[in-house]
Amino acid sequence: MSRGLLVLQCTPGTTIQDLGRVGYRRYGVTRSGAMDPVALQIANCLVGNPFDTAAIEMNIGGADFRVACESVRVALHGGDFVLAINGVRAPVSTSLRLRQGDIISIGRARQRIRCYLAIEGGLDIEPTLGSCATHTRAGLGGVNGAALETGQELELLNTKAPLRKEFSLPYSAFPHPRRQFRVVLGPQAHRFTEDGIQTLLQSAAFRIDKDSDSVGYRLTGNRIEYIGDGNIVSDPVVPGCIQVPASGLPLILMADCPTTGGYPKIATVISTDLPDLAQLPPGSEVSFRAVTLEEAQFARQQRQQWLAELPKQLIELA
Amino acid sequence: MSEAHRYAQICFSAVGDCAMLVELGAGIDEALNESVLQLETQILKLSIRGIEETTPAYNALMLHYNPDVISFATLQETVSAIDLNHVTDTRERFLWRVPVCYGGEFGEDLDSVANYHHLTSDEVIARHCAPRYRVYMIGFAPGFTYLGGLDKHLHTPRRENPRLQTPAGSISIGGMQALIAGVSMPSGWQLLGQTPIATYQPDRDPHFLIAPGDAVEFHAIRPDEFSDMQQAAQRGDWVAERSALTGEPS
Repeated sequence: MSRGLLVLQCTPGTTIQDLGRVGYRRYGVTRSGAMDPVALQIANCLVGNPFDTAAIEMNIGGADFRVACESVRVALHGGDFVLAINGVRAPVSTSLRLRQGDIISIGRARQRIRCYLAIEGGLDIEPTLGSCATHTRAGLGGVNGAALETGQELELLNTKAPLRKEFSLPYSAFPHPRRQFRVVLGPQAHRFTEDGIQTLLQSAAFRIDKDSDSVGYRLTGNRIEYIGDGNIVSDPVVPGCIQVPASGLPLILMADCPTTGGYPKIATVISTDLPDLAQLPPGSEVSFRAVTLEEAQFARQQRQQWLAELPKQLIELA
Repeated sequence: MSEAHRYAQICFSAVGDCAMLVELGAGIDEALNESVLQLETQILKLSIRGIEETTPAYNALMLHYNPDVISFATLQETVSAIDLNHVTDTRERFLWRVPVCYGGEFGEDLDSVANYHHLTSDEVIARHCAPRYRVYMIGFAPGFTYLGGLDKHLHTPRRENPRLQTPAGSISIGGMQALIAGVSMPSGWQLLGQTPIATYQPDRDPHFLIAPGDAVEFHAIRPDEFSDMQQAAQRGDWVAERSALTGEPS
């Protein structure tokens, strides 16, 4: 008897992600994890999982799966993906109990391009360096460090989902999507001219370039003026850092970014806003607003609180 | 880049809301890098609540912290109170003898690097094997080991066209730096050879062999030795010889 979910088809870049690896950056291992960790946590909450349970992350193009075990409880949450079960449209952001042979079809997204299929009990995967997050560039995590492939079978920890009430996230509880992203200036803002900093903070100054992925979002638009030769001795970086290479066009580091970089960093997108940025497809217009560290940490605290209260917000379905 | 120097005062900056960059100076300098590692050792020894992990680099240390547990100001105060002039070095340090198969398919840029410097390929190999390198940083990608101490006659600009893929174990040089690559990655550095050792191996204990502050020496091996050693490394053997390093690496 089969134990899991069969991948009938999937878009390249469909991966298994959790909240990422902590503790190995000093050896060059990036945190990785979900591009939109908030959506991942919501999906997990809907099926009653611990929030950091690994789930399937999809980008733009969806995927199809067949339930190959007795029964399973899943929830899809994230961007504007359309979900169908056995060809019939089904609600997203809602837990669903499915039975053997059922087909899960996730269509294409347009405006918000990351979604997570959480599975009650989680996937049966051995963590690498403390996490199941897939970092394909380094061949780490997931199944053999690689993205999912058509025909692959994913083993699950629970192959029988108990009958119980299902839950849904009320529309009013959806985080409000933003186009303007808050940043804390620095750590190398002093390597830019006053004009350079103003260029970053102008409204609607940039667009996300097509050459963007989970390592970094390249921006096109006005060039940012810097002081000196535009190189620094490599120092540590985190997702959200806005590096400005010699071209003057910023590059925002995302979940799979290297642990160190050699370009000056004008500012860092705050952790509360980065998941929303990760939802935007290439071509989207973005702008930035500077906030203080205190404001950034207050926003983070509020988001943490919102997540902690999330189980209470869910609606129990009849 | 400007001359390496130490700042009169440690510079603390916020990197977003969950990280602090602690900069001790600018440029690439052994004593400066040593101070970064000493500072990290002292911070780890203090087991400060709220610090999730630390990333040391050439002249700066990043502290990843949870602002719900410790504030930026408290963290800055705690780190400022550490007196680097009165610490005893408790880090275990090792000298690693790393085998390298040079040239040909193992190091596609060996001949062009030799031409660039008007040297023979054998002279490049000899100069690359001569120094004892200091490990300044493990960064960028898993097990990427950044070395200082490259012979100044081998300083070579990076390639105009970066390669989209270079193998794990690539031994390369870029500018004044030398590198051992832990995993396969795109790279614009000049490839001199390849080592069969795995600086990172997920199925081995320990996962990572070399640490910042260690020393590395290279020696040349033949292609047939390379394949035997690579198989051994894949089984989880270290392959590289390790010995204790006493005192400061030179």
